[in-house]
Amino acid sequence: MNASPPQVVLGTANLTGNRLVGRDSPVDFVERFQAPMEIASVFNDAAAAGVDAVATLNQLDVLAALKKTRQTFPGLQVYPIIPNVIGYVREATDYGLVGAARRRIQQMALVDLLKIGIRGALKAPGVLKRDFNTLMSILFDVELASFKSLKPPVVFLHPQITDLALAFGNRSLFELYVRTMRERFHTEPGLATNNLGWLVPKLKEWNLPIPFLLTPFNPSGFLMKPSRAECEALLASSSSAVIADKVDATADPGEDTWRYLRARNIRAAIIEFWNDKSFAPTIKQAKGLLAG
Amino acid sequence: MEIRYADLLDPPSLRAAAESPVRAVVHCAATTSETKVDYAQSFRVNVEGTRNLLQACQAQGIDRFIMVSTQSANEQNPSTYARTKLAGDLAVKESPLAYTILKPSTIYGPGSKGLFAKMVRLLDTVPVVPILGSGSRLIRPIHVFDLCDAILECEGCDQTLGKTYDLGGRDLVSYEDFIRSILHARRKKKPFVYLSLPVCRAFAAAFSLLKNPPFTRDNVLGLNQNQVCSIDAARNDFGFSPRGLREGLSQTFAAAESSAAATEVMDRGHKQEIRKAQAVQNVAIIGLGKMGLLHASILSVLPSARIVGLVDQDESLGAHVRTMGLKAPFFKSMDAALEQASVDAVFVCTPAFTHYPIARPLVEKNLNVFLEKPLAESLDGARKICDLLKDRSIVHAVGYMKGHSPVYERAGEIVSSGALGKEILFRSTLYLSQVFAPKRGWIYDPKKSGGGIVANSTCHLLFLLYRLFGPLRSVCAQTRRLHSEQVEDAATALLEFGNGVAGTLDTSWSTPGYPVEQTEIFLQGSAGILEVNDTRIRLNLNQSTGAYAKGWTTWQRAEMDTADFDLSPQYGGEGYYNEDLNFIKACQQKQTARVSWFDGLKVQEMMDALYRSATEGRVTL
Repeated sequence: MNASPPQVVLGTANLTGNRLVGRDSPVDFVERFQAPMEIASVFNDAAAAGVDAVATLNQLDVLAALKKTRQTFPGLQVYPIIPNVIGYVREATDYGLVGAARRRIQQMALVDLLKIGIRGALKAPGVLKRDFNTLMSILFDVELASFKSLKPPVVFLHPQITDLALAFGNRSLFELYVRTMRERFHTEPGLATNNLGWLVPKLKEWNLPIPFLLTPFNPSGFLMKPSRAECEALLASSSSAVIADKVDATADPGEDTWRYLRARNIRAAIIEFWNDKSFAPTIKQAKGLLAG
Repeated sequence: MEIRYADLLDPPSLRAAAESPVRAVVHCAATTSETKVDYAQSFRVNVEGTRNLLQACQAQGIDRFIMVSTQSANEQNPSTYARTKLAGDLAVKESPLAYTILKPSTIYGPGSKGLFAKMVRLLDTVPVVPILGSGSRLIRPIHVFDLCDAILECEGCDQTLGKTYDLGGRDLVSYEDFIRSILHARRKKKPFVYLSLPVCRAFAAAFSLLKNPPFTRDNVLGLNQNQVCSIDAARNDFGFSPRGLREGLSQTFAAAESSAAATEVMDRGHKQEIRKAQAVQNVAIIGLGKMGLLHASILSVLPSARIVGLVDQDESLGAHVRTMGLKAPFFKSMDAALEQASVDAVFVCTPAFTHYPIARPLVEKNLNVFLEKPLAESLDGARKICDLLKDRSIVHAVGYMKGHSPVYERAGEIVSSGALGKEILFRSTLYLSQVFAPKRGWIYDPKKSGGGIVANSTCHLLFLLYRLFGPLRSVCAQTRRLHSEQVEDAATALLEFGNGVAGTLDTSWSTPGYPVEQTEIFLQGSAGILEVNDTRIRLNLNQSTGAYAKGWTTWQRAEMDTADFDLSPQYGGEGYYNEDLNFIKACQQKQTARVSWFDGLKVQEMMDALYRSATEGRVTL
């Protein structure tokens, strides 16, 4: 499957209290968006304003809302970010890394579990040896089972997994990920990263082209590692389509933000929901100026 | 290293300078066309002069030759300087000597000569700053001391033989940003005027009539050349680890203000010190759980560290970590690691109750030790750990990573600047949505972890309060269990510090709405208020004070983050990166780490007082 690059993607970090930049209390958001209906309402507004896709972790309430919105806006795509590291890390604190993976598997539906169980049984030696890539491959199955009916055109590897594998030079995980996404899930592989300036040279060294990168790109340089200038310079030599994240690093994104991205040939960005008033106008402005 | 004087165009003087016991020659001499472009003279000095020096080395039996070239020396740069330096490089490559060629980007640093000194003088005097070209060309300015380090490192490193290395600073910046950074470091603000290339060429032609022109035709010819040099090869081969631009400029101008002191430092054999301070640290990590992996990932990208051992009593965990790509040798015990690997420093990432038994033999072997927080499971344990330091001079640190978070660092600077006037009252909170049912594991066993939310998470907040206000004077606290069977899930306390400031602490890991831990401190001073949390600082001052303006000022985390790598921005990743970088640097330079065990002991005293107060009432320290 060849996915075409989107323009405006709705992020769900704010809706679920996982924000990185500060304005108001996250509790206000968590309280408001505890019901899938409220999330669906934001999705509806976003889709009506022109959002092309929603990027999200495997979170039941978000997926329920997305399925509801797709009844009205069937063209709204989903970009899964897998695995849900935030939930996983929390469980790893209590149950250890392997224990957390086991718990995740135990939470699956029986049918999916059976399917994965058959594949998992074939991988039993790897599981018993705690082979990281085997465990990750099972996690891919587990996480994407929730997204199956939404038919995602691109799936992103969570930035903490990307960056951990990058730091450890785990090329085989990236190869496995690309192969699994294309061959088993018939979708395009994307990598989310907070360390673009480290990742792009490594992918080149490994001769591993990745069609989509989801990464912070903003005029303030927030999370553009190791530096904004290096990320900008590398972008010019990368063949990947970049979806800019953290465009709201210091303030609500505005005309300057979209022009900054356009000047660097970035045509897609993640927009987070901050408030009802600025939400739709921001999406429309981004849509117009990124396409410009 | 010794400086010897000779004339590149006078071969006998070169042979005399190269007489025994010279083992190696570093060739930095060249004519730069800084004042006048003269191709014939440049060719004589930069090409024939280099050949003369190479021949003198051969004649005197000197085998090692380090050529300091330039980023300008490439086929695309048509300037006289570039062409002649490139020809000089070729002469070196064709010689039979064991050579290394270093190609630095724009060099800056203390000193009154050279292009950078000229730029600074110009910036100091002109009312409007001329930017030659668009100002967007990329350069990687390198501090002169970092270049010196590289030369010294290469000289003793066989891996560099016959190779050419690009050298630059840590930051890749546009030329315009470089100028802005210089102005910022000199606390000046000036408008810019952009001169297009044809205008620059015209000016250069006119200036060529001057004895000491501000720029020459050669300078203009290099203006459309990016210097996006990659320093990866230098990092990998000899651990090149240059400083950032902001840090380098600040040191440059500090040195200039005290040039006599700077000279003295150089005369004292500063270069030898630099060599020691640059040595890559061999690191072992004990405990391969979540924190062990986090530190391993950061240490894997730090050029100044090399992981030489992974230690865990669970062998299957070792195998698991190896399948993640981490190829360092695995050992089932620290003794085995120390027997088989050369270790300079150890990261201990095991439960708190194991810290003392693990740290003791390490300290006795004079190894540098980083302990994850908290220092120990009890005050007695923490004291025993600090007692290990008697008559020892190891580098020690404890993992209170918020002490390295740029947001809290800046908040500390504001408080210590006195801008808030007399500090009066504060309130502080730390909330997390983690425990909503009884949980198992060492964290929830007070004998192993030291307690519940306070020992495991709120210790970070206590550390911040200690850094802001100093030692604690008294505490009156209550703790409560909500879901846990053995440890507290929530605590509230009234704290009073030695400096007179008093306030509240409220904390819980059983509060919904905080999927990621949130810390907040609000401080009321006599001259304003300060609010700081993990993502921003807000300051309101009654009147302007020093660098801080009257009214509201907000700083977002994004404006302060300078870490080169961030594995976990959600969990304060820049703090962890800075923490590891600080510890490794402290090990290299044998300096005190930013957050030492003694700081950890202070936090442990605060925790102990808080827990005692929960059963005894008000506790005074």
